[in-house]
Amino acid sequence: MKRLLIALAALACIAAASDPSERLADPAQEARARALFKEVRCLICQNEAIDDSTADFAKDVRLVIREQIAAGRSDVQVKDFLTDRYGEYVLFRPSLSGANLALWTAPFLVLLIGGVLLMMRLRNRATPEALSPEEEAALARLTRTDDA
Amino acid sequence: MIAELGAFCLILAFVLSIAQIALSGAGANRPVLAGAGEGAAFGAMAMVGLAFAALIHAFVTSDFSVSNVAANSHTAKPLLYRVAGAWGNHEGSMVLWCLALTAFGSAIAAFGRDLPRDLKARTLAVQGALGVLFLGYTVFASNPLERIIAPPVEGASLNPLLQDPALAIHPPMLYLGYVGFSVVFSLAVAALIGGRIDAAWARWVRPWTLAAWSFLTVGITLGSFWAYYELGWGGWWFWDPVENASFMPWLMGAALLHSAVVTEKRGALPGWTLFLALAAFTFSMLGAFLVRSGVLTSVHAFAVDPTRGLLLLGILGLASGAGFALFAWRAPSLTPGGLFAPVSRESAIVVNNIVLTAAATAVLFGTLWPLICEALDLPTPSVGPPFFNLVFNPIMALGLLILPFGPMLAWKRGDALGAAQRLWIAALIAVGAGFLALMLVSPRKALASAGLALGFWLIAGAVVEITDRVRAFRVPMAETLRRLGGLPRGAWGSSLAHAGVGVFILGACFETSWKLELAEIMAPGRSVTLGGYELTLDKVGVVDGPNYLAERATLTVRKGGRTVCEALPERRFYPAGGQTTQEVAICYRGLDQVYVTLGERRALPNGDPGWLVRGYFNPWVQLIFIGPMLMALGGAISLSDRRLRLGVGRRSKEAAA
Amino acid sequence: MSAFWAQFLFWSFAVALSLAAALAVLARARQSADVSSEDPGVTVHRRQLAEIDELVSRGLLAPEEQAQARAEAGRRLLTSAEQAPAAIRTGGKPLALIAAVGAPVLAVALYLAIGSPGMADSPMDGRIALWREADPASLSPPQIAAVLSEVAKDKPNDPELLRMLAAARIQANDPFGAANALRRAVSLRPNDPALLSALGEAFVAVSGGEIAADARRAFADANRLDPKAASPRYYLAQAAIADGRKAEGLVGLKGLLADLPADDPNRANLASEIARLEGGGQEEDMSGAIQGMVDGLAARLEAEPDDPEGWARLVRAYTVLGDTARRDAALARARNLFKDRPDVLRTLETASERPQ
Repeated sequence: MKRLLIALAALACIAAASDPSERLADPAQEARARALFKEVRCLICQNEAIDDSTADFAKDVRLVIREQIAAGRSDVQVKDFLTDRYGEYVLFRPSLSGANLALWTAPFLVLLIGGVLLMMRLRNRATPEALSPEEEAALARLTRTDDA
Repeated sequence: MIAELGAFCLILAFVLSIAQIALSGAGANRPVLAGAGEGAAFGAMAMVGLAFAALIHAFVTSDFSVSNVAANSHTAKPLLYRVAGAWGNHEGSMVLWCLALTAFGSAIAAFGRDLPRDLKARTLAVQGALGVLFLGYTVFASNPLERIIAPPVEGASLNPLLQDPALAIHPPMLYLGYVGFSVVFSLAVAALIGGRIDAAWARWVRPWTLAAWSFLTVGITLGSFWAYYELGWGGWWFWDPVENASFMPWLMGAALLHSAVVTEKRGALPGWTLFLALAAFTFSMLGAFLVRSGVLTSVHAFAVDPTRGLLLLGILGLASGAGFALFAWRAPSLTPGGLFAPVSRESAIVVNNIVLTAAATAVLFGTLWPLICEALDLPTPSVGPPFFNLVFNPIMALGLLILPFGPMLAWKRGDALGAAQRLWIAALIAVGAGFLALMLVSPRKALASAGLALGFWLIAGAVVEITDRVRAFRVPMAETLRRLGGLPRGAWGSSLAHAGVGVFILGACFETSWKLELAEIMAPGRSVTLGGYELTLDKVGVVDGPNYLAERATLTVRKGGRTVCEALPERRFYPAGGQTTQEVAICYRGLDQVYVTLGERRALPNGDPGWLVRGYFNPWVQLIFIGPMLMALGGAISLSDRRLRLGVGRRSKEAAA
Repeated sequence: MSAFWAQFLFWSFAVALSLAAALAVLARARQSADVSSEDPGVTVHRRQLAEIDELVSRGLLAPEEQAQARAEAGRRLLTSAEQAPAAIRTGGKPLALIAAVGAPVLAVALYLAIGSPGMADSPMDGRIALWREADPASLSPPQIAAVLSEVAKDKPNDPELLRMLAAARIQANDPFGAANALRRAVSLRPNDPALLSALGEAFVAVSGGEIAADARRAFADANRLDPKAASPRYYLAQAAIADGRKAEGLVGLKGLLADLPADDPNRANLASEIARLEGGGQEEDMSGAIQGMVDGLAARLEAEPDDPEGWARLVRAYTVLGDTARRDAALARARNLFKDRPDVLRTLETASERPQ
């Protein structure tokens, strides 16, 4: 374990697996482009990000994004450009507005409701009584028939 | 003749399932009819089994007069994939689904000796009704044994991505899991009809849940492993709709496993346990619908067919609609059962259930949201990995953080301080490991280091739980060993499964955060470095496959000048469908893997031929697949606990008397 | 086996299976007739009660919790014992019998309605055996190819057979299979120009008319071994033209035309092809007409823009014509028009992809 950690520590971060013919010269810009690629859908593929796809569409969009990043535009600007061109469907992360709020909040709402229900269940509790003599007798009868 | 006998068997199975509803339904208080219903269940399973065998026979002999074989096979396909082709398509996979459904029906009939007579009969009646729905769909809307009068000379081949050993066994496992929840569903509906829902019922639900959940775990893991090495870009989970479809019943099943324990031990939460029992199979059917209807695009989906999708949706609506309607009718009469304090095993399990339900909600909403928006005429967003990473991951992390406390707390009223005192060593290990990771692993990543800490917290927590149960280091060694031997298998199983979650977290965090990638155009003789490894392209040759033509690269992987393995990635061309695929080469290095793919041919600047080679160093990636296997193994060990097999206890008592 | 016997055999098996199913129902019914009265629910609860003592004795439950746990488990046992199991009734044999007999009858009726009774299997081996017996003239090219590949399995080292197989596969529209067979044949007889030339042609067919590197290598080898052979010369000339060396290619084609015998049926085609390449005029006329139609479509869409299919067609047309500037303009407009409709967007993207 320790050996492995040290071995890993010795490594520098290696160039990404992007196509060498497409790569930007500036590593920082390239890293930003790669991060964006993971959030952009390849519209003609089956549920793939353009980062993973070999389709022409993905290649074209990668090129456009790299051009825009090289031209100094921010991530937000690039995303706006993409949604203007292809609609919201092109981004893998739904916007935090409008109807999508229901999507973002529903799981946390379940957490909240569950928590409230648990509190209510815990609050109205009574101490359980010990077995009454009659119950003890009935129980003894039931367990005895078993041994017989 | 064999194909036609298969078609006849399928119809006979359908009719026997109808008989099973009538006989078992009327047999709740008539032993003769209950027995006849069980006989019908056995008969239905045997007949679906024979029909499936006939279908496989048609695939093996390339009988293209069977429409399903003509559409999904090819004489050039290797034998294994011709066999697997029988369930690698829509119609054939439905037969496999029906086989699992009827097999589980027979399993109730055969192994349900400890169930009350009426509950067992009603369960079989419900199982028969599910059989009628799915067999009816198979026989009338998606019959794989339909014949062609003028068969083609050659079949239209199967998707080459599906020609893979992992994918040959992945669907059977997945279906055993999906369909295993049908038994739980039937038990729930039967109990709702009979009106007796108590600790004993939960005790009968548990083994079936465990079995289904363990199969599902193995099935999902195999599917993930297939995607990892077949799709060729090193990912193992894509939050793809089809993956999500199998993940939702898994989450519900995990919740059910735990809540059923509470109902069994304390008689508490019967309504919730019932609800989960209905929900788990509802999600299974939803998965079957999503994969086959084509409403969602996915890398795993079968060929799309809207009419069939609508039929499957009808089956789903009918079955779970009836189940939940019954539930709504009976729920008010359910007693809340045993009481418990805020700090107790029960509370911990309830929190676990809330977290798992919230997580399943995230997956459900994330999967269906584009559909909902489309139906409501709203702008349609894509819901992909960024959403799940932001919503699902923190919710699950919260649940996993408190997980080790659960087993340390007593039923009814736990001792939080005591549990914390016993867990301090696990916390120390976790924090220490996280700190070490933060200091030593480059580049420095705080969140990923915290993830590693969480993984170690779960593993150490599981170990502490076992040592605590046997009072290790506090009582003499002999006493510890005696206790170790006496520990119920259920305890081993749950600890192993919890440790498995930790192992998975370790792998997932490490692989995702610290994997290294490279892509280089290489000519033979060139070398590149990837992490501590040096990859040299020795040559690229042409290989003749049985139904493809491939370029195969030979790369030598060296570390410190020493050869550690030879990687042979391929780029295959399947002419029958015109597809190109990549065959990944993986070098196993302990827990790590060096993963190499061969891309297209590209000329180098000087005009020499070169190839685009992609390499990935995936540290600890094996843990991602080992973790879930440990979970499934834990499930299997719990299943073998004698306390879940009541008959054995009774028999041994009889023998003693 | 005669049709009658096949039918007889099928129905015998069907009846046997039906009998087996009926028997399964009746046998299990008979087996279950005797009943024990113990309620498993009570047993479970009684065991739970017993387990508490066991847990205490093994030190897994604190003694102070024993009383409470016992009270709870005890009450559950009492409740479950109170719920008397439903009265067990005898009888039901007639219904079981009706089901056992009725199910197979219903199955046979359904099968007659939707199945293909008595239809024989037709496994590939059997069909190939039939075709081997048959008159080759009555067979279709794929059938001949299937027969020949079966024969070639027994004689894998016969280049002549492989050549015939390849020819049959070309006829059967399986150029990849043909190339496969020819590659084996060439490896057996590497210096046969006819085989090499056929291999090159198969490669061309595989890649849909393009003369790629593999094909060129085969044709070059064939040409080296037999400089007079027509096919390699023709394709090498075409390859030169495809590379932009039009003059060199034309020289090659003209030389070939001069060498072809006067009665060769390919002469006329070759001559007209040379004429077309030299003139190059006809093609422009054609593209002018296409351009006119595309402009018409564009004008119509300006007037009536709500036509997703029309836009897809326009984009595809510009793509095919290689007019990227107009394609992008049309694409941008259409995307804007249909930005809420992912299905249309996808069609548009596909239309703008370069044809494969």
